[in-house]
Amino acid sequence: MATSQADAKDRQFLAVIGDEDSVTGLLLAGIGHVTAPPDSQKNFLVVDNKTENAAIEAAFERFTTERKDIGIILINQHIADRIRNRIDTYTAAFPTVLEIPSKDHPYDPEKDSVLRRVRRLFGE
Amino acid sequence: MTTPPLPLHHASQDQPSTTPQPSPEDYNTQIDALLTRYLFLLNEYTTLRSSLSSLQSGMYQNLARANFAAERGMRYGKEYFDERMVAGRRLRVLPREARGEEDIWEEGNKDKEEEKVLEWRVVKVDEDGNKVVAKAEEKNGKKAQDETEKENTTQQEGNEAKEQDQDKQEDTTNPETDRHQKEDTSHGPQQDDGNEDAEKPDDDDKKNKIKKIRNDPLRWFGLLTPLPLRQAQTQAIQAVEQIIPRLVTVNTEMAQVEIEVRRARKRREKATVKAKAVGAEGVVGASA
Repeated sequence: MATSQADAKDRQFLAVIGDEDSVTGLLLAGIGHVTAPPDSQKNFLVVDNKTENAAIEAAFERFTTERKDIGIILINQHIADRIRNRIDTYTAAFPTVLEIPSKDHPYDPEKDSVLRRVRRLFGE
Repeated sequence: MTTPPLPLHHASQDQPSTTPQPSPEDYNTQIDALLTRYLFLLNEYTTLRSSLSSLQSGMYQNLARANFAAERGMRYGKEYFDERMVAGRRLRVLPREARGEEDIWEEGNKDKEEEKVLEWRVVKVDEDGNKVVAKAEEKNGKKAQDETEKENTTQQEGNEAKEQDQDKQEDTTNPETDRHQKEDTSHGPQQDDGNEDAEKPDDDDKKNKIKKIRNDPLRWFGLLTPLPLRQAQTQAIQAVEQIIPRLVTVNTEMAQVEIEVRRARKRREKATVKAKAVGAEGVVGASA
Protein backbone atom coordinates (compact mmCIF):
# COMPACT_ATOMS: atom_id res chain seq x y z
CA MET A 1 0.00 0.00 0.00
CA ALA A 2 2.84 2.36 0.82
CA THR A 3 4.29 1.86 -2.64
CA SER A 4 0.92 2.39 -4.25
CA GLN A 5 0.60 5.70 -2.44
CA ALA A 6 3.89 6.87 -3.88
CA ASP A 7 2.66 5.55 -7.19
CA ALA A 8 -0.50 7.64 -6.86
CA LYS A 9 1.41 10.92 -7.08
CA ASP A 10 2.31 10.38 -10.72
CA ARG A 11 -1.19 9.45 -11.74
CA GLN A 12 -2.53 12.75 -12.93
CA PHE A 13 -4.77 11.93 -15.88
CA LEU A 14 -8.29 10.66 -16.28
CA ALA A 15 -8.78 8.27 -19.21
CA VAL A 16 -12.04 7.74 -21.09
CA ILE A 17 -13.37 4.78 -23.05
CA GLY A 18 -16.74 5.75 -24.39
CA ASP A 19 -19.04 6.59 -27.26
CA GLU A 20 -18.40 9.75 -29.24
CA ASP A 21 -20.69 12.01 -27.21
CA SER A 22 -19.33 10.86 -23.86
CA VAL A 23 -15.74 11.36 -24.98
CA THR A 24 -16.53 14.74 -26.57
CA GLY A 25 -18.27 15.97 -23.42
CA LEU A 26 -15.52 14.85 -21.08
CA LEU A 27 -12.80 16.18 -23.34
CA LEU A 28 -14.61 19.54 -23.36
CA ALA A 29 -13.97 19.57 -19.61
CA GLY A 30 -10.25 19.49 -20.39
CA ILE A 31 -9.18 16.00 -19.42
CA GLY A 32 -7.95 14.97 -22.87
CA HIS A 33 -4.21 14.58 -23.23
CA VAL A 34 -1.92 13.42 -25.99
CA THR A 35 1.67 12.71 -24.98
CA ALA A 36 4.58 14.28 -26.83
CA PRO A 37 5.51 12.74 -30.19
CA PRO A 38 6.75 10.29 -31.43
CA ASP A 39 4.64 8.29 -28.92
CA SER A 40 1.57 10.53 -29.15
CA GLN A 41 -0.46 8.34 -26.84
CA LYS A 42 -4.02 9.39 -26.27
CA ASN A 43 -5.84 8.97 -22.97
CA PHE A 44 -9.18 8.32 -24.64
CA LEU A 45 -10.82 5.86 -26.99
CA VAL A 46 -13.93 6.60 -29.02
CA VAL A 47 -15.97 3.43 -29.38
CA ASP A 48 -18.63 2.99 -32.06
CA ASN A 49 -20.50 0.01 -33.49
CA LYS A 50 -17.55 -0.93 -35.64
CA THR A 51 -15.03 -1.00 -32.79
CA GLU A 52 -14.12 -4.56 -31.94
CA ASN A 53 -14.05 -5.87 -28.39
CA ALA A 54 -10.36 -6.67 -28.82
CA ALA A 55 -9.64 -2.98 -29.43
CA ILE A 56 -11.57 -1.98 -26.29
CA GLU A 57 -9.75 -4.59 -24.29
CA ALA A 58 -6.40 -3.47 -25.67
CA ALA A 59 -7.15 0.14 -24.68
CA PHE A 60 -8.21 -0.98 -21.20
CA GLU A 61 -5.02 -3.00 -20.90
CA ARG A 62 -2.94 -0.05 -22.04
CA PHE A 63 -4.56 2.35 -19.56
CA THR A 64 -4.38 -0.06 -16.64
CA THR A 65 -1.02 -1.76 -16.99
CA GLU A 66 1.22 0.04 -19.48
CA ARG A 67 0.58 3.64 -18.57
CA LYS A 68 1.61 4.78 -15.13
CA ASP A 69 0.17 8.27 -15.38
CA ILE A 70 -3.55 7.41 -15.36
CA GLY A 71 -5.47 7.54 -12.08
CA ILE A 72 -9.10 7.06 -13.10
CA ILE A 73 -10.56 5.23 -16.09
CA LEU A 74 -14.04 6.37 -17.02
CA ILE A 75 -15.87 3.82 -19.13
CA ASN A 76 -19.43 3.77 -20.41
CA GLN A 77 -21.39 1.06 -18.65
CA HIS A 78 -22.60 -0.50 -21.91
CA ILE A 79 -19.03 -0.64 -23.19
CA ALA A 80 -17.85 -2.15 -19.91
CA ASP A 81 -20.46 -4.86 -20.52
CA ARG A 82 -18.63 -5.81 -23.70
CA ILE A 83 -15.48 -6.59 -21.71
CA ARG A 84 -17.29 -7.43 -18.46
CA ASN A 85 -15.05 -10.35 -17.59
CA ARG A 86 -11.94 -8.21 -17.89
CA ILE A 87 -13.51 -5.43 -15.77
CA ASP A 88 -14.75 -7.78 -13.05
CA THR A 89 -11.41 -9.48 -12.66
CA TYR A 90 -9.60 -6.15 -12.43
CA THR A 91 -8.83 -5.54 -8.76
CA ALA A 92 -5.85 -3.18 -8.67
CA ALA A 93 -6.17 0.04 -6.67
CA PHE A 94 -4.63 2.15 -9.43
CA PRO A 95 -6.05 3.19 -11.74
CA THR A 96 -9.60 3.10 -10.45
CA VAL A 97 -12.30 2.15 -12.92
CA LEU A 98 -15.56 4.10 -12.82
CA GLU A 99 -18.50 3.11 -14.98
CA ILE A 100 -20.53 6.04 -16.23
CA PRO A 101 -23.86 6.23 -18.08
CA SER A 102 -24.06 7.07 -21.77
CA LYS A 103 -26.64 8.80 -23.94
CA ASP A 104 -28.51 5.68 -24.97
CA HIS A 105 -27.84 3.59 -21.89
CA PRO A 106 -28.79 5.13 -18.56
CA TYR A 107 -27.01 4.06 -15.39
CA ASP A 108 -28.08 0.58 -14.25
CA PRO A 109 -27.50 -0.02 -10.51
CA GLU A 110 -27.76 -3.80 -11.07
CA LYS A 111 -24.49 -3.75 -12.97
CA ASP A 112 -22.69 -1.37 -10.64
CA SER A 113 -19.69 -3.17 -9.15
CA VAL A 114 -19.86 -1.08 -5.94
CA LEU A 115 -23.50 -1.98 -5.29
CA ARG A 116 -22.70 -5.62 -5.99
CA ARG A 117 -20.00 -5.41 -3.35
CA VAL A 118 -22.56 -3.94 -0.95
CA ARG A 119 -24.89 -6.85 -1.54
CA ARG A 120 -22.06 -9.30 -0.97
CA LEU A 121 -21.14 -7.64 2.33
CA PHE A 122 -24.68 -7.78 3.68
CA GLY A 123 -25.50 -11.14 2.14
CA GLU A 124 -22.69 -13.00 3.84
CA MET B 1 -17.68 9.32 11.93
CA THR B 2 -15.37 7.41 14.19
CA THR B 3 -15.56 3.93 15.51
CA PRO B 4 -15.84 3.84 19.29
CA PRO B 5 -12.80 2.23 20.90
CA LEU B 6 -13.27 -0.97 22.75
CA PRO B 7 -13.83 -0.83 26.48
CA LEU B 8 -10.63 -1.93 28.14
CA HIS B 9 -12.10 -3.55 31.25
CA HIS B 10 -14.13 -6.39 29.94
CA ALA B 11 -12.15 -9.52 30.78
CA SER B 12 -13.98 -11.97 32.94
CA GLN B 13 -12.60 -12.75 36.34
CA ASP B 14 -11.83 -16.32 35.29
CA GLN B 15 -9.10 -15.00 33.03
CA PRO B 16 -6.11 -13.85 35.03
CA SER B 17 -4.30 -12.58 31.91
CA THR B 18 -2.79 -9.06 31.93
CA THR B 19 -3.88 -8.28 28.35
CA PRO B 20 -7.66 -8.37 28.34
CA GLN B 21 -9.30 -10.08 25.35
CA PRO B 22 -12.26 -8.36 23.68
CA SER B 23 -15.50 -10.29 23.99
CA PRO B 24 -17.77 -11.11 21.00
CA GLU B 25 -20.16 -8.33 22.13
CA ASP B 26 -17.39 -5.78 21.82
CA TYR B 27 -16.79 -6.91 18.27
CA ASN B 28 -20.51 -6.63 17.61
CA THR B 29 -20.44 -3.00 18.72
CA GLN B 30 -17.49 -2.32 16.48
CA ILE B 31 -19.07 -4.04 13.48
CA ASP B 32 -22.28 -2.06 14.01
CA ALA B 33 -20.35 1.18 14.08
CA LEU B 34 -18.48 0.21 10.91
CA LEU B 35 -21.70 -0.74 9.14
CA THR B 36 -23.32 2.54 10.15
CA ARG B 37 -20.42 4.38 8.59
CA TYR B 38 -20.67 2.15 5.55
CA LEU B 39 -24.35 3.03 5.11
CA PHE B 40 -23.57 6.75 5.31
CA LEU B 41 -20.98 6.26 2.58
CA LEU B 42 -23.44 4.22 0.53
CA ASN B 43 -25.98 7.01 0.84
CA GLU B 44 -23.44 9.53 -0.39
CA TYR B 45 -22.46 7.20 -3.22
CA THR B 46 -26.05 6.85 -4.49
CA THR B 47 -26.63 10.62 -4.21
CA LEU B 48 -23.46 11.29 -6.18
CA ARG B 49 -24.47 8.68 -8.74
CA SER B 50 -27.83 10.34 -9.34
CA SER B 51 -26.27 13.79 -9.69
CA LEU B 52 -23.71 12.38 -12.13
CA SER B 53 -26.54 10.83 -14.16
CA SER B 54 -28.50 14.07 -14.31
CA LEU B 55 -25.42 16.15 -15.17
CA GLN B 56 -24.46 13.77 -17.92
CA SER B 57 -27.93 13.58 -19.41
CA GLY B 58 -27.97 17.39 -19.47
CA MET B 59 -24.61 17.32 -21.20
CA TYR B 60 -25.85 14.85 -23.83
CA GLN B 61 -28.96 16.95 -24.46
CA ASN B 62 -26.89 20.06 -24.96
CA LEU B 63 -24.51 18.24 -27.30
CA ALA B 64 -27.50 16.99 -29.29
CA ARG B 65 -28.89 20.53 -29.43
CA ALA B 66 -25.56 21.89 -30.65
CA ASN B 67 -25.35 19.18 -33.30
CA PHE B 68 -28.95 19.77 -34.38
CA ALA B 69 -28.37 23.49 -34.90
CA ALA B 70 -24.98 23.02 -36.56
CA GLU B 71 -24.32 23.45 -40.25
CA ARG B 72 -25.06 20.52 -42.45
CA GLY B 73 -22.47 17.81 -42.13
CA MET B 74 -20.93 19.39 -39.04
CA ARG B 75 -20.84 17.27 -35.92
CA TYR B 76 -19.20 18.27 -32.67
CA GLY B 77 -17.14 15.15 -32.22
CA LYS B 78 -13.88 13.34 -32.72
CA GLU B 79 -13.12 14.82 -36.13
CA TYR B 80 -12.44 18.19 -34.52
CA PHE B 81 -10.29 16.96 -31.64
CA ASP B 82 -6.90 18.64 -31.48
CA GLU B 83 -4.23 15.97 -31.85
CA ARG B 84 -1.86 17.95 -29.62
CA MET B 85 -4.27 18.47 -26.77
CA VAL B 86 -2.90 19.02 -23.27
CA ALA B 87 -4.98 18.20 -20.21
CA GLY B 88 -6.21 21.35 -18.47
CA ARG B 89 -7.77 19.43 -15.62
CA ARG B 90 -5.70 16.85 -13.83
CA LEU B 91 -5.93 14.48 -10.97
CA ARG B 92 -4.35 14.91 -7.55
CA VAL B 93 -4.36 11.89 -5.26
CA LEU B 94 -3.57 12.83 -1.68
CA PRO B 95 -3.31 10.51 1.29
CA ARG B 96 -5.70 11.56 4.00
CA GLU B 97 -5.35 10.45 7.59
CA ALA B 98 -8.32 8.26 8.33
CA ARG B 99 -9.68 7.90 11.80
CA GLY B 100 -6.85 8.31 14.26
CA GLU B 101 -7.34 6.13 17.28
CA GLU B 102 -9.67 3.28 16.57
CA ASP B 103 -6.93 0.87 15.70
CA ILE B 104 -6.01 -0.21 19.16
CA TRP B 105 -6.73 -3.76 18.11
CA GLU B 106 -4.20 -6.51 18.48
CA GLU B 107 -2.79 -6.51 14.96
CA GLY B 108 -4.19 -3.12 14.13
CA ASN B 109 -1.07 -1.04 14.31
CA LYS B 110 0.98 -3.01 11.87
CA ASP B 111 -1.53 -2.12 9.15
CA LYS B 112 -1.49 1.54 9.96
CA GLU B 113 -0.21 2.41 6.50
CA GLU B 114 -3.25 0.74 5.02
CA GLU B 115 -5.64 2.76 7.11
CA LYS B 116 -4.80 5.93 5.25
CA VAL B 117 -7.64 6.76 2.92
CA LEU B 118 -6.76 8.40 -0.36
CA GLU B 119 -8.54 11.52 -1.42
CA TRP B 120 -9.00 12.20 -5.12
CA ARG B 121 -9.30 15.68 -6.52
CA VAL B 122 -9.42 17.15 -9.99
CA VAL B 123 -7.79 20.55 -10.28
CA LYS B 124 -7.41 23.06 -13.06
CA VAL B 125 -3.82 23.27 -14.27
CA ASP B 126 -1.85 25.22 -16.87
CA GLU B 127 -0.01 23.62 -19.76
CA ASP B 128 2.99 22.73 -17.63
CA GLY B 129 0.81 20.92 -15.13
CA ASN B 130 0.97 23.61 -12.43
CA LYS B 131 -2.14 24.33 -10.45
CA VAL B 132 -3.93 27.48 -11.58
CA VAL B 133 -4.69 29.93 -8.79
CA ALA B 134 -7.42 32.49 -9.34
CA LYS B 135 -6.13 36.01 -9.94
CA ALA B 136 -8.12 37.79 -7.23
CA GLU B 137 -6.81 35.41 -4.62
CA GLU B 138 -3.23 35.96 -5.74
CA LYS B 139 -3.59 39.72 -5.42
CA ASN B 140 -5.19 39.62 -2.03
CA GLY B 141 -2.56 37.17 -0.84
CA LYS B 142 -5.21 34.81 0.43
CA LYS B 143 -4.65 31.14 0.78
CA ALA B 144 -6.07 29.25 -2.19
CA GLN B 145 -8.85 27.13 -0.87
CA ASP B 146 -10.14 24.51 -3.19
CA GLU B 147 -13.78 25.32 -2.86
CA THR B 148 -13.43 29.00 -3.62
CA GLU B 149 -11.18 28.09 -6.48
CA LYS B 150 -13.80 25.83 -7.94
CA GLU B 151 -16.38 28.59 -7.61
CA ASN B 152 -14.06 31.01 -9.34
CA THR B 153 -13.42 28.68 -12.22
CA THR B 154 -17.09 27.98 -12.74
CA GLN B 155 -17.82 31.68 -12.53
CA GLN B 156 -15.11 32.34 -15.05
CA GLU B 157 -16.64 29.83 -17.39
CA GLY B 158 -19.99 31.51 -16.96
CA ASN B 159 -18.54 34.95 -17.61
CA GLU B 160 -16.76 33.71 -20.68
CA ALA B 161 -19.98 32.26 -21.96
CA LYS B 162 -21.78 35.56 -21.36
CA GLU B 163 -19.10 37.54 -23.11
CA GLN B 164 -19.16 35.21 -26.04
CA ASP B 165 -22.92 35.56 -26.15
CA GLN B 166 -22.63 39.29 -26.30
CA ASP B 167 -20.03 39.01 -28.98
CA LYS B 168 -22.28 36.81 -30.98
CA GLN B 169 -25.24 39.13 -30.65
CA GLU B 170 -23.17 42.08 -31.76
CA ASP B 171 -21.86 39.92 -34.51
CA THR B 172 -25.27 39.27 -35.96
CA THR B 173 -26.78 42.73 -35.43
CA ASN B 174 -24.06 45.14 -36.35
CA PRO B 175 -22.04 44.58 -39.53
CA GLU B 176 -19.48 47.21 -38.52
CA THR B 177 -18.62 45.46 -35.31
CA ASP B 178 -18.56 42.30 -37.32
CA ARG B 179 -15.81 43.68 -39.49
CA HIS B 180 -14.07 45.11 -36.47
CA GLN B 181 -14.15 41.73 -34.78
CA LYS B 182 -12.82 39.93 -37.76
CA GLU B 183 -9.84 42.27 -37.72
CA ASP B 184 -9.45 41.53 -34.06
CA THR B 185 -9.47 37.82 -34.54
CA SER B 186 -6.93 38.11 -37.32
CA HIS B 187 -4.57 39.69 -34.80
CA GLY B 188 -4.83 36.75 -32.51
CA PRO B 189 -7.13 34.88 -30.22
CA GLN B 190 -6.15 36.90 -27.14
CA GLN B 191 -8.42 39.70 -28.30
CA ASP B 192 -11.44 37.48 -28.10
CA ASP B 193 -12.68 38.52 -24.72
CA GLY B 194 -12.39 41.67 -22.72
CA ASN B 195 -11.83 43.93 -25.75
CA GLU B 196 -14.11 46.54 -24.19
CA ASP B 197 -11.58 47.26 -21.45
CA ALA B 198 -9.95 50.65 -21.65
CA GLU B 199 -6.94 49.59 -19.62
CA LYS B 200 -4.20 47.66 -21.30
CA PRO B 201 -3.52 44.38 -19.54
CA ASP B 202 -0.01 43.47 -18.45
CA ASP B 203 2.17 41.23 -20.54
CA ASP B 204 1.75 38.42 -18.05
CA ASP B 205 -2.00 38.72 -18.24
CA LYS B 206 -1.83 38.59 -22.02
CA LYS B 207 0.32 35.50 -21.96
CA ASN B 208 -2.01 33.85 -19.50
CA LYS B 209 -4.98 34.64 -21.67
CA ILE B 210 -3.32 33.23 -24.75
CA LYS B 211 -2.46 30.08 -22.82
CA LYS B 212 -5.95 29.83 -21.40
CA ILE B 213 -7.60 30.21 -24.78
CA ARG B 214 -5.20 27.82 -26.47
CA ASN B 215 -5.92 25.32 -23.76
CA ASP B 216 -9.71 25.62 -23.97
CA PRO B 217 -11.12 22.59 -25.82
CA LEU B 218 -14.03 24.73 -27.05
CA ARG B 219 -11.58 26.31 -29.51
CA TRP B 220 -11.29 23.01 -31.41
CA PHE B 221 -14.76 23.72 -32.69
CA GLY B 222 -14.14 27.32 -33.76
CA LEU B 223 -14.03 30.75 -32.23
CA LEU B 224 -17.74 31.35 -31.87
CA THR B 225 -19.23 28.20 -30.47
CA PRO B 226 -22.96 27.73 -29.92
CA LEU B 227 -24.44 28.25 -26.47
CA PRO B 228 -25.55 24.60 -25.96
CA LEU B 229 -21.97 23.45 -26.53
CA ARG B 230 -20.73 25.85 -23.87
CA GLN B 231 -23.44 24.67 -21.52
CA ALA B 232 -22.39 21.08 -22.18
CA GLN B 233 -18.85 22.11 -21.27
CA THR B 234 -19.98 23.69 -18.00
CA GLN B 235 -21.85 20.52 -17.04
CA ALA B 236 -18.93 18.31 -17.98
CA ILE B 237 -16.58 20.45 -15.86
CA GLN B 238 -18.93 20.16 -12.91
CA ALA B 239 -19.04 16.36 -13.30
CA VAL B 240 -15.28 16.05 -13.67
CA GLU B 241 -14.34 18.49 -10.88
CA GLN B 242 -16.94 17.77 -8.26
CA ILE B 243 -18.73 14.47 -8.78
CA ILE B 244 -16.25 12.00 -10.28
CA PRO B 245 -13.36 12.52 -7.81
CA ARG B 246 -15.77 12.36 -4.87
CA LEU B 247 -17.34 9.16 -6.24
CA VAL B 248 -13.92 7.55 -6.49
CA THR B 249 -12.98 8.70 -2.99
CA VAL B 250 -16.20 7.31 -1.51
CA ASN B 251 -15.65 4.07 -3.42
CA THR B 252 -12.14 3.67 -1.97
CA GLU B 253 -13.40 4.50 1.49
CA MET B 254 -16.19 1.92 1.17
CA ALA B 255 -13.70 -0.73 0.09
CA GLN B 256 -11.60 0.12 3.13
CA VAL B 257 -14.59 -0.24 5.49
CA GLU B 258 -15.51 -3.56 3.84
CA ILE B 259 -12.06 -4.90 4.70
CA GLU B 260 -12.39 -3.69 8.28
CA VAL B 261 -15.85 -5.27 8.64
CA ARG B 262 -14.60 -8.62 7.34
CA ARG B 263 -11.60 -8.46 9.63
CA ALA B 264 -13.79 -7.67 12.65
CA ARG B 265 -16.20 -10.49 11.74
CA LYS B 266 -13.34 -12.99 11.64
CA ARG B 267 -12.08 -11.82 15.01
CA ARG B 268 -15.59 -12.07 16.42
CA GLU B 269 -15.80 -15.68 15.26
CA LYS B 270 -12.48 -16.45 16.90
CA ALA B 271 -13.59 -14.72 20.11
CA THR B 272 -16.86 -16.67 20.13
CA VAL B 273 -15.01 -19.98 19.75
CA LYS B 274 -12.63 -18.98 22.55
CA ALA B 275 -15.47 -17.90 24.84
CA LYS B 276 -17.26 -21.20 24.23
CA ALA B 277 -14.08 -23.17 24.98
CA VAL B 278 -13.55 -21.22 28.20
CA GLY B 279 -17.20 -21.79 29.16
CA ALA B 280 -16.91 -25.55 28.54
CA GLU B 281 -13.72 -25.71 30.62
CA GLY B 282 -15.51 -23.90 33.41
CA VAL B 283 -18.41 -26.38 33.32
CA VAL B 284 -16.02 -29.34 33.30
CA GLY B 285 -14.06 -27.84 36.20
CA ALA B 286 -17.24 -27.22 38.25
CA SER B 287 -18.62 -30.75 37.68
CA ALA B 288 -15.27 -32.28 38.67
